[in-house]
Amino acid sequence: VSGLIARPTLACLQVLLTDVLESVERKRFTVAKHAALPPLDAIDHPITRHCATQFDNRANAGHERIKSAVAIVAFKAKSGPWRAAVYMDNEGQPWIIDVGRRHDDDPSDFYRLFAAKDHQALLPTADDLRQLKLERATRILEAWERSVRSTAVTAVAAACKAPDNKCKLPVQDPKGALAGHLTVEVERLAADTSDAHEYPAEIIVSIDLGGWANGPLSRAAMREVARVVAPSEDSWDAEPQSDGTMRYVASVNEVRLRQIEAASEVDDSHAIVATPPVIAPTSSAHYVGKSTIVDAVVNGDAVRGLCGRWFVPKHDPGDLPICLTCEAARERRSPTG
Amino acid sequence: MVTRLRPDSADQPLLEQIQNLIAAANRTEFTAELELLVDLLESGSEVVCALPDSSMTPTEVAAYLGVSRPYVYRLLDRGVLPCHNVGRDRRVPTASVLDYALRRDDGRRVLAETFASAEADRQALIAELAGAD
Repeated sequence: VSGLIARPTLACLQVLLTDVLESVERKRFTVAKHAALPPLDAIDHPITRHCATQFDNRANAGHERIKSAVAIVAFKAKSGPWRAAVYMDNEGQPWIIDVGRRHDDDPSDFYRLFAAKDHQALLPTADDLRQLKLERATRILEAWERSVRSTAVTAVAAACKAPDNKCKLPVQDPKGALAGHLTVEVERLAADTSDAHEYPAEIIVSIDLGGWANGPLSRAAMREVARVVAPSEDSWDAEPQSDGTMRYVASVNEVRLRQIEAASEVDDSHAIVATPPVIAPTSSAHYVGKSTIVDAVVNGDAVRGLCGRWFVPKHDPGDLPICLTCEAARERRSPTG
Repeated sequence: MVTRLRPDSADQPLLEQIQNLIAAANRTEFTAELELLVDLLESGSEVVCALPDSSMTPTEVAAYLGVSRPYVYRLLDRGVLPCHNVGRDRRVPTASVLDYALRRDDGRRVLAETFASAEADRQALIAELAGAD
């Protein structure tokens, strides 16, 4: 059974925060909001690590019971000067319900303090169970995101080899049902050296998420594909098809294509699948009409820059270089020219 | 043939005069559309005028869409943009190009929102997977 790793209750986390954790760790947890806590079964401390090993579901028997706890069954855990009380719930989930230091024969000794507590009150609460559910859901989602990246790598590599440069693969949703298909097409375009603009030769990777219901899942799938193909917003454009569907196209270089092909030849451990960078936001600042920007910032809507690019204004663009097309468009409008 | 109207601030008095003329005229469907046009120009929008049955060369299409000519030929070859032959060259109906640009705008908006909604989507998906409670 995986996923049943010993974890502190939220109340016990408070004890860890005040007494046990190093200040750096403490900062990490206090900065995070309740819903965005890091996984509680991954707190890096000798006593939590020890509990994870001792209560790993293989050796349920043989734990030493804390005799002072009568109303509940609590087990001892020891690591160096640290002591903990561990409770196993009905599903076999080990909970670290209290931690402290050993001080033999001293009133501040962990087991003395623990003996005097209301043990029922230390059991995992509804909040604890909710937090556990959220963490399990997060892991399921992360595994799904990884599987989408793996599918994208396979599809791009297969499209490169296919006679028609295309590959269509099914993609499951996080619960294992068919979510839709991913179609990848890889095309090579010659350079364009007409007078007005110069375009280098480019490789166009088009993505078609046909059959997906629009929503958070299809957007998440598109983002994971983008992280594999070209992890930068500026690389992507939309391409409406004659049948009314939309394709998203990225301009990539030969090096990237080789990297993706290399990733397809090993298992899922390649960095492109396992630890891809997040998508880089647009690299230049765009001008938009003043009337639209206020609503957009408040509602999180996309706005259209003077250059024609759509973007969702988020952070202060002060430090970004200004988009040249936007600059030209603004100069055309200013009274002095 | 495509004309792009790009007003700048110096044109504002003229646009105001046109608005006054429209306001003084009898209201018809045509004056309503003219009004919309002038409003767009006054707000600083760029407006493109084209005869309904005009067509563009691939080079014009590339310049208008901001893509390379090979990309335009690709769109033509795939039938994404319709075209007809004039001698050895191809022509694309202007209306199709404008329609393509409009729909691409929609796609670009969706794309921008896709990239921006990562955190909100993540919270929604986690909440859904965790079950409502």
